[in-house]
Parts: sequence; C-alpha cells; structure tokens
Amino acid sequence: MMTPKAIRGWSFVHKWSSLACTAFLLMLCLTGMPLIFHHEIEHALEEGEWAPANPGGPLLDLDQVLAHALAHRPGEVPVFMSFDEDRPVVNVTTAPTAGSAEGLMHFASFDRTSGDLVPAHEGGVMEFLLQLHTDMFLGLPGMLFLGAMGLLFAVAVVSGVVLYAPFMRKLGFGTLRLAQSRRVKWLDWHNLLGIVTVAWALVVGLTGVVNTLATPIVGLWRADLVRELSAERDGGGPVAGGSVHGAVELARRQVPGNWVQFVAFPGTGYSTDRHFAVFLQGDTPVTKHLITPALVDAATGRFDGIRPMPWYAKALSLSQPLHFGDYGGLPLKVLWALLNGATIVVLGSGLYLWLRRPLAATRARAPGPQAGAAVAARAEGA
Amino acid sequence: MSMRADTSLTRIFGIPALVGVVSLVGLVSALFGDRGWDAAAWVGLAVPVAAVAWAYVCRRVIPGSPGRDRPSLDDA
Repeated sequence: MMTPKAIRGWSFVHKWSSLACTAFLLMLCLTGMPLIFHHEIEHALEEGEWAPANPGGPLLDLDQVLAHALAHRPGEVPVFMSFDEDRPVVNVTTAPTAGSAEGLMHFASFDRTSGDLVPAHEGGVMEFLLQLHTDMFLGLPGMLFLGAMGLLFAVAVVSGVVLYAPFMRKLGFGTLRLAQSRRVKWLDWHNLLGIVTVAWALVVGLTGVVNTLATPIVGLWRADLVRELSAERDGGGPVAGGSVHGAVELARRQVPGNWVQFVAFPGTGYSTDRHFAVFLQGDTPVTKHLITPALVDAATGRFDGIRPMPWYAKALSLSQPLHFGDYGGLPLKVLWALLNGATIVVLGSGLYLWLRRPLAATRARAPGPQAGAAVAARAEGA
Repeated sequence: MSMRADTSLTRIFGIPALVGVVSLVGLVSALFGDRGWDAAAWVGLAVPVAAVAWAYVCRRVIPGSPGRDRPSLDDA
C-alpha cells in the first residue's frame, strides 16, 4: 500500500493539476454538451428546410455545376470544389487567381439537380459555441492553451486513479454514503463517477489535445505535400479548363471504396500547376477520416497516382471522431452526453471538496467510523 | 509488495479496470463499422453508466437499514 508520503505527493499533483484546469474544463464540458448534438440542433433550428429543386432527379455533372458557379463570379477561377454528404449540394470556392490568398476566396453552394445557388448556412449560436470550445476566440494561442489544459486534465485523471486506492481501502466499489456529511457524500460521488469515466475521459481529453494541434499538423502536411508536388510543377502556369468531372470519376475508379471529399484545382496550394488533386476519403467510420489525395493530369486526363497521408496527419484524423463522439449514431451521442455530465459532476464535486477541505485541526480529530474517510480527509487536505 | 497488498489492489481496482477495458473496446469498435460495431460501442459505453446506476440502487448507504450501514460488504 502507499506510504503517507506518497499519498501526500500524489494529492499535491492531483490538487494542483485539477485546480489549474477545472475552470477551463468546465467551460469545455458545458460548451461540448450541445456540440455533441450539433447536427441535430442545427437541423432543428434550420428555418424552412432546404430541398433540392428536382428531388430524385438526374444530377448535373460537375463541369456543369462549375459553369453555374463561374457564371456567378465573372472573372474568377475555381480553387476548390467540395461535396455535402447528406444532400445533392456542391460547394465551389473561387478566387481572382488560383494562387490567391484565403481572404480573397469566395465560397458558394449549388444545387446539383438544378445548378441553383443554395442559401448559405447561418453560423449562429452553434458556431459561437464551437469557437469558444476550440480556441476561446483567441486563434492558435487559444487552441494551444486549451491543449495544455487538456494535458493537465489527463494528469489530474491519472493522479486521481492513484489516489482512488487509499480512499477505497475500506470501501467496496460504488459505495455511496449519501446520508453522511455533505463532504463524504460528494467524496463518494467524486470517486465513483471519476473512476468509471477514466477511460472515456482520457480518450476524449487526449484526442482533444491532439485536435488543438490541428493547425500545425495540417500546415506541416500541406508543406510536405507541396514540397513533394513542387518537383512535378512545370512552371508554365496553372493548366485551366480540364474536366473536373472526368478527374473525379477517374480518381474514384482508380481508388475504389472511396468518397470524394474535395478537389483542389491546378495551381492551388494543395495541387500542382498541371494536376487536379482529388482528396478521397474512405467509406467506413475509421477510413472516412483518412484523406488520400489522388492526382489527375488536367491537360491529358491521366491518373498520376496517390499520395497517402503521413502518420501525423492520420493521428489527427483518427482523433477527431474519438473526440466528437459522432461515429456511432444517436445512442453513442446520448452516452457521450451522459459521460460528459458525469465529468461535470466530477469537476464540480472536486472543486467543492477542495473549497470545503477540512482544516488541519479538524482533520486530526476526525477519524470517524470509516477509516477510508480519514485517509481521504488526510490525503485531500495535504 | 506483499500478497496482501496485491489482493487488496485487485479488490479496489478489479471492477474499475473491467469498466475501463469494456469502455475502451466500445470507444474503438464504432470506428470500424456500422450496425454491429455501433451496437458494441453502445454496450461498451453503457457499462460505466450502468455501473453508476447500479451503485445508486444497490450501494447506497441508507441510515436505519440493517446490513446497509456497513458499505464494504465484500470487505468482511
């Protein structure tokens, strides 16, 4: 069993790692709760749900959709084309030139059954919550700061598991002494809810930490990709006018079992001057997040191979579903919400136990009937 | 570490370790597919929730109920 000195050491780690991150973790849990159901909430909030002009009708080919998009933005060139998963909608990003900065790009959505413009999504309250949850409106520094809070949370969870042993030495699993003092009652809730959510909290916490590194990871992948592809640039300026429809169809034929996430046109930051880069995603929950760019020569229509994701980009991609809980239907989201609720209680009760910690004097004469509570009190007050 | 300490750790961490492993299996399984995989994830992550419900119903220490005032039943 642990020596009193070891208990004091772990208590110190548990107390300070928790105190440093509790406020931010509470914010993350509270904003995370509606974000679990963002799809359902956005669906419910949508005023007069959008429907395609010819439901079930034939789909325009992608070159026709592109022609509609360019007609709306005279003088501009296409940069990216992406596809909605659950409706026949194609999103086209245009800009004055293929290499234009992000701020100059224009994003618009088109009905694939008619070529009509689809009204833009209103960001609204969910967008606000997501931004607060991701970076507290502070950009990259905010993201990295929340990542550090996530690491502290993981330290708090692990030290909490270590301390669980002396607390539970004389108590059976799940004991809830609800009739005793408030402190004992919340201590038991803290221990029970904390210990059963360890696996979930560590997975969601640490994948959240990985997600805070998304900006540098995507930046690194893009830099690697561009360096690799730049060898294939021929310096003659971007090739214009190749068939995007043909490129997408060819990439899908060459790499079976994949959906197309988006297409980068020749000359953009994600392709070469002469290639369409077709970004394919798998069709199972695990491969859906693994993106593979396939290159198709824009001038000749030839397939020029794929460029699989490097391991660090794969790690980021697989962290996303495990953090969001959106990969197993509504029942999984409900369980996610319940476990998130349990985490909120653990955070709140932990804070309460610290605020109501026994003073040194009361600690000395408070052994009480349960030896476990005495160890607990000692450990807590250390 | 003595035998006694080992058995005591097993007693303390036995159920939590089981709940943790089942949760992890659940967390990972829905990544691999839909239907059966999803159902496995629901079962896996329902286990920690069920453990709390079980503790609230069966492990509550209520004053005046004989046999319940000593919480560590398996500790005797």
